[in-house]
Amino acid sequence: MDKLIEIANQAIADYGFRQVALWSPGDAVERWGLSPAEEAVLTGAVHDALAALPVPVEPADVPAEQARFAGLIKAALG
Amino acid sequence: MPERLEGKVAIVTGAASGIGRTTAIRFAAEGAKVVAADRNRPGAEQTVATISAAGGEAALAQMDTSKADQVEAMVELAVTQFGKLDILINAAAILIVTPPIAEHSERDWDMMMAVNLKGVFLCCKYGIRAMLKGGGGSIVNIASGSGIQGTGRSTAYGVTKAGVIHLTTMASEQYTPQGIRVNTVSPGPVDTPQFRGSAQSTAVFEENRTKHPMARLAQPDEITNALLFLASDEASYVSGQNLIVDGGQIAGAVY
Repeated sequence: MDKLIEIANQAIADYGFRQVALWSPGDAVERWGLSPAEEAVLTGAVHDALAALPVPVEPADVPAEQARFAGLIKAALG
Repeated sequence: MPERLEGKVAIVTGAASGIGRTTAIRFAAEGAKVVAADRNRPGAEQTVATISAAGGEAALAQMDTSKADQVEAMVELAVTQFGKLDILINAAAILIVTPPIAEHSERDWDMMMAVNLKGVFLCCKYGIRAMLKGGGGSIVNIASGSGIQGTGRSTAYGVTKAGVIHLTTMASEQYTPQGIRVNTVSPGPVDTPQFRGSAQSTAVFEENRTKHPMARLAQPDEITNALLFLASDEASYVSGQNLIVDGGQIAGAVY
């Protein structure tokens, strides 16, 4: 769960990395060693939420978005 | 007025957005049959739909430029669907903002090297093979002003773009005698999602704009104009060059 939250945190703050998380999830799975359950959340709920973010996420909004994503990931992984 | 790419077949990587998208659409409008390649399938589908709606011909290749098998399949798609490959535009890249070298993550370094430099190498490798069978072609690799100057928001990004410029030089040396011209376009700041994203705030984006010699950023089609010239037969005696399209930014910094 922590690895997935780490990925989401970087993807929120950094648009370039967001492209990797959105469109090359296999790379993220391999590089972070995500479990199948984490991969399913990355390509499901996290993907959809990342795709809906503005470009860029303003610095003042980053902490709130990161907290929202952490909640989403914790809920999805139980 | 005749279309400038009539009868040509082109692959454009990074065709889902930004410079890649405007280039794929413009090349199709100029008569080329286009393979719009990107790992972002929804974005590439929009590009293909725009081309089709305008009466052009395009095919979609969902692929990752850092994977050799996917690059080979992309080139094969151009040849099987459109009969040959004349033009390759390497626009796919990622820009991850990084701290200075001592704090730079190895993971971010590897990801940018994989897409921005290995990806261009692989696309050149398989694209050149197809072009040799067809008797020649034109490759234009997109680098960046940050591949020339020690500036920018990412060490790895700048290093990959410097590598693209040199890869172009070597490819030109090796394949110009066989009818393949290879050139680079190095854009300055362009109003694309990637550049807006890498600014990481609207305030920084606006600061980049106001500090530019032209007090504006380039629009993607202003880069496409340079790509079109180099890709077309109008540039028949141009190979091994790096055309800087930055609105005078680097010149302003030097002088």
